[in-house]
Amino acid sequence: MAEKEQGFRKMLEKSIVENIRIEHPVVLKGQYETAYALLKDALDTGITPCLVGPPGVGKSLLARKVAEDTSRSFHEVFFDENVTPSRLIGSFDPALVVRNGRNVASFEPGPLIRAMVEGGLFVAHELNRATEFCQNSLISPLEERHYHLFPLGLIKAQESFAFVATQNPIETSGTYRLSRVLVDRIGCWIRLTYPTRETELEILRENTPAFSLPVSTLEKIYDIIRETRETSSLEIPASPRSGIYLTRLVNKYHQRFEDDNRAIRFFAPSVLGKEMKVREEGKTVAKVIEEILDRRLG
Amino acid sequence: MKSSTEFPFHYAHYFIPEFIERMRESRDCPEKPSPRQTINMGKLLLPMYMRSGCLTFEDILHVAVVTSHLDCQKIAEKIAVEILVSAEPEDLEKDKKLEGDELLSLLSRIQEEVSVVPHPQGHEQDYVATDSSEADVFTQFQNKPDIGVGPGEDRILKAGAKAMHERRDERTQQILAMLLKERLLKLGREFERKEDWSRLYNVRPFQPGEDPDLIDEDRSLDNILDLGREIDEIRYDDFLMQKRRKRNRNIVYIQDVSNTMFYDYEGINSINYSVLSLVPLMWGLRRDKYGFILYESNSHIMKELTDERDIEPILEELIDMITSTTTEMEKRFRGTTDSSTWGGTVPNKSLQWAYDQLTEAGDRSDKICFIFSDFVLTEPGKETVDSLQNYALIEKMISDGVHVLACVSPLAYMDIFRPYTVSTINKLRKIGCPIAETYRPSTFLEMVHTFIDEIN
Repeated sequence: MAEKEQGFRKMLEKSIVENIRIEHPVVLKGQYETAYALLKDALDTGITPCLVGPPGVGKSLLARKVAEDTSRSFHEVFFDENVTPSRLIGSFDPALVVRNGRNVASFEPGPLIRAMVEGGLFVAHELNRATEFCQNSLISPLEERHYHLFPLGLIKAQESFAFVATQNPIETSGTYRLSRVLVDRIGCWIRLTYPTRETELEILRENTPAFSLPVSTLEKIYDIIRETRETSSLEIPASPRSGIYLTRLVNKYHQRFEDDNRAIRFFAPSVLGKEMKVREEGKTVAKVIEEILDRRLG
Repeated sequence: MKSSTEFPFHYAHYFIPEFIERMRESRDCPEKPSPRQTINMGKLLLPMYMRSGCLTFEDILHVAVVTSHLDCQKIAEKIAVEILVSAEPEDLEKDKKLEGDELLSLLSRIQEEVSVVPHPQGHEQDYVATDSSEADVFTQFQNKPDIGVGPGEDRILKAGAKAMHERRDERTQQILAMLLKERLLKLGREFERKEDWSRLYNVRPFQPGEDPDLIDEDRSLDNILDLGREIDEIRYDDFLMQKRRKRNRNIVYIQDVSNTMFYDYEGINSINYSVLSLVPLMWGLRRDKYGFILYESNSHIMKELTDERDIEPILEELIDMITSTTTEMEKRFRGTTDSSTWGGTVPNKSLQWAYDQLTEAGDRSDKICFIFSDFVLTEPGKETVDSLQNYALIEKMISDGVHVLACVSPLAYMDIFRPYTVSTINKLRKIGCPIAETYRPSTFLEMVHTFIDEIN
């Protein structure tokens, strides 16, 4: 047992990396090209951008791509009602405070302070899920680019420090209204929606390792995904992320099936159903998917 | 939209202030642009200009849209296109060779020329109440320091509701509704904060990244002494912090919209009292799962427990009820005004719906049902089958673990209604259903807070 634990510790040590790199090419076409350019311009000119779009359209990836291309370290927080300002800023280790007092050594920095000090990119995911208390703690790092950390003093952000927020457009339970002061400090609202056919086909291809499917199969997958967005009975349709998962599964295991249609039919309900939500009474996600598959695959 | 039209950077000097001014004047723009947006527009246009040596139609349009608040992006696009298509060719030629410092000075001039006004020029009168009655009393508090929540606040809310109720001018009503909403949401936030604090109980070991403000110093010291730690041996998890209680709540709100709720007494009716208490309550508890139903002779489901729907339109619809008549309500919900089955007080179906919603949830969450009504249910001395069924349903809810609170309009205690309500209210008390009056919103919220606290 002790050996196993020792082994784990060693593996953990080896797994620690400074930054995660994006391992596949990022498709910067259509809306993503515009959004990427805007994101970079906003960060270069000191404007805080907020990426707004449904889940799975690539908001986080775009932010990560900018961080990577501008050689910034990447820090992120996914907001919900339990995230407190000290989770962002960091906190003093009370045991070390008792021994050494409140000094730099007894302070354990949070991701926001790390990003400020390292001049990295801080991504606030789902900002509209942050409590008012948390939202207020973001104001001075955003506007004045400093944070007053008692009793250490004023922490000034490096020149390259940048802040990107993301949020979903749908107001669901658990979301908070952004305070006016914070809204005013977000200088640029970049909307992302579902990509065009050409762009999404490329996204599906590029995100599938060892892609070997015929074009017609890929198009069938895309058409199924698109139809979920066009059908009125669905409130939340399938995202590009679901499309990627479906393509990966079909690409890897299609040889197990008689034809690609059967592979799609096998994987689609469990992959697409996970995030979809029906609007129409009396319908279920499974039923809607089945209807779409029948129409598209015969 | 692609266009080959190119604009010199100088055009931004004209475009930005013009765009900002038109956005501020527009009634379709709920979030008026601030001076920051002006600065940001200039900042974002600069790299675009630097890359290509000119600004395109698309660049300017794009910057106007993305720097505008999400709720205003459609109107921003419209206004920007209007300005862009009306640009005269000679305007575009002026100062075409502007460079370096001149560009920067233009940007700083953009900032100088922006003024902040509370309302668009020429529309000042729209924002002034039409006479000096309650509306003025109500509006004079806007832009004043926070006066807190208490009986004073209650009076303002009531004055606001009364003023809204009495006005027939639609524009004034809209402004009053907006102001009232703002106040009610503020009250809701106060309530929410109080709720958050009361969810703190018990202690657990401190973890890195936690809020040190939550460390319970006395209990931490006791713990360290109990453990017999030397100063060098103290660990961070020897410190104890208050633990946030996390228990989900499923809530159903039932609102009576029968004819008696719209009976005016000194300019205010039961529906007004309900709205003033229900809106802040719903806002304060918006993070919990909730269902909402209206009833008169019929039931009208506004939101099922599992629906994910923006709460604000629901609250706005409730605030609209302050100025509504029963005929308008009937038209809104039934589409006609000639129905003979409108306006009665028949809560059975709504109570059954609430019961089903809360018990079908099937989890271990707290289940709460708020019934807002004047409880004018039966004629004196006559207990109908329906009315007995109502009590039976409430009793069943309570015995199945649903916490029911009857939120009673103060008009229920008036002489005209008392003969109808007294036995109902007594009976509710008897079956274990607590009562809270909606006379003062802040007092009502205090009572709800205590009610919820007792559940915890």
